[in-house]
Amino acid sequence: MLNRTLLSATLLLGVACAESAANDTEVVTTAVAAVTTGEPAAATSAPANTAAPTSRGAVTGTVSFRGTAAPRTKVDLSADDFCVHHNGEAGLEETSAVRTEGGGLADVFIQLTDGVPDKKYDAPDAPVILDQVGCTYAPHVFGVLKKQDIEIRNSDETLHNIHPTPDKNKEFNLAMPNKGDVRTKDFRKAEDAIPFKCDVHPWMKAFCFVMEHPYFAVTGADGKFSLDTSGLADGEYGVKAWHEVLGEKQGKVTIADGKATYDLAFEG
Amino acid sequence: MSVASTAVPVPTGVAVSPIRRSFGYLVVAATVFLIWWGAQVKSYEAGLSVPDWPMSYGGWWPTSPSGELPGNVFWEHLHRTIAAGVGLLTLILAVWTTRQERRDRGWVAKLALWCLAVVVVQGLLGGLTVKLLLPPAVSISHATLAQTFLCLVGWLAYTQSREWLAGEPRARTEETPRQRTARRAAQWATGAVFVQLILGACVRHFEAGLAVPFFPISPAGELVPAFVDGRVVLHLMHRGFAFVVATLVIRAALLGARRWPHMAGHALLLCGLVVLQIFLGATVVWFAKAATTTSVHVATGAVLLLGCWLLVLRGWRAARTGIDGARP
Repeated sequence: MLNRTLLSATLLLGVACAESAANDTEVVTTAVAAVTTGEPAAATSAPANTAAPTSRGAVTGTVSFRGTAAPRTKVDLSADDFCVHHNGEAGLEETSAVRTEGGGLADVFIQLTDGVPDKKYDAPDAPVILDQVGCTYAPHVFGVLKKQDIEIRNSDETLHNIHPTPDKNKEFNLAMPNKGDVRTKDFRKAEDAIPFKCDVHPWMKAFCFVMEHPYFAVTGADGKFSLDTSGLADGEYGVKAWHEVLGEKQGKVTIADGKATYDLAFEG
Repeated sequence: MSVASTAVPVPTGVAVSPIRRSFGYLVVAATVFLIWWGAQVKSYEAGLSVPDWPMSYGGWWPTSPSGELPGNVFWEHLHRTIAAGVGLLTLILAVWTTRQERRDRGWVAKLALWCLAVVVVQGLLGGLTVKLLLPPAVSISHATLAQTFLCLVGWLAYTQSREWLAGEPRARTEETPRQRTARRAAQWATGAVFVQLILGACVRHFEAGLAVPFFPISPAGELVPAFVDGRVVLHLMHRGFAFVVATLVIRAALLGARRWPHMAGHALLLCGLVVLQIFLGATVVWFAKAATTTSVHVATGAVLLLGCWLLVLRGWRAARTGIDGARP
């Protein structure tokens, strides 16, 4: 119960912060932390090699970018007055790009692969929130467990449609014409990087990872991430990192006493 | 140019008011405009920007609080609106034509009803594209039926033209072999353009427009990219068949102009259109599917198809009625 309360609080805080582009880090990381703390290993018989029943720590690290990132282009918002006025003179920068701050790389999805116990992980009751705010998605990259609700909100005074185009799951296209509209959907099959788009505002893109297990995280604007290891035994695990422009990288991490540090770099 | 007539034209005796005649032309023009607008919907990837159908965001006019049609809703919702307008115009034309033609020219009345039926099916197909989230088969059918409707309504408008009404084939004038050759050349050209339009719709809806990103050859001098997949094959089929189309259209135009001098302007226009169309196809690649050129390419294809189809009809009509001195 405490977990759920904290979860709701952190999600709401994250959404509130999302209106400021500078606070993307908090939006992404709090949402992910919430997911990873949400009942990760409940109600199933654990295999012999999975022991730790409580949170002992996290895999933390930084994803960095080496090279020269192409300058992020400004989005032409002129097709919608609301988007123009909401974003003001600063405008809106392309979200599907290499976003790097002080060498850190944002919006990298990190997940553990090999070694994670192969069992059923129940989806948390609390939804992951995907907000349409300022004619962009917050967060830009996020993860959910199978059958976990995604609460889709429209915080804009303009109409949006929400349209994911998965390969394995069922595609849908929902109208969200009013500010305050909320729709809830879920996905039933594990799938990486499902693109979400708004056909009204073609620059709006997000990516959703539907996971079998809760061991994943997304880097914030500074490239840092924290992946809760609750329920994992110490040992070596595979790691997969994904960035929508730079592709995938794989590696290994050794968790000792519930903790590990894992840094990696993408080249551009 | 002095030309011998093969038969004396016999007036049809059918009267079509200038208003009805003009109304038919208006429906044709509106259909071309609608096809261009539909191409814009695809060019801007706006087809699913209004998720519901037949309503738009639960109402009839989905504006944002500022009163505008935001973003791509502008293209999709106005496509529906213009389509509804074309449907209404077609309904009026069908009723008008049926009431006035059913005694003397029952087949023209039937043609008008076919136009109405096709425009209704086309509207339903448009709805299906939304409901089924744009499966390529439905989108391609929607695009192809639009061209078919244009040919039908163009035919209907032609039956109300002064040229058509100037004579009817009571004289049972037979086509000469050369006239038949010219007419068949026009038929081949029409068929080829139609096939090419289906290929073009496939290229668009299977996202193969830039599968070969250079035209005519790559900087390295290649005609075909190093990596070949289904989209590249589709793209190259469309590109290669364009030259078959050009050959057939120019041949039909030259034969038509020679056999039916009063159609020389029409034939010349077709030659110009096919050259323009190939150039527009090149610009689609050069400008990476820029919306403007891509949509004009689609609309020009439709006009080219209509032009070829009218060449068939006019040639057939000229040979059968002896109007305007068809050459033997």
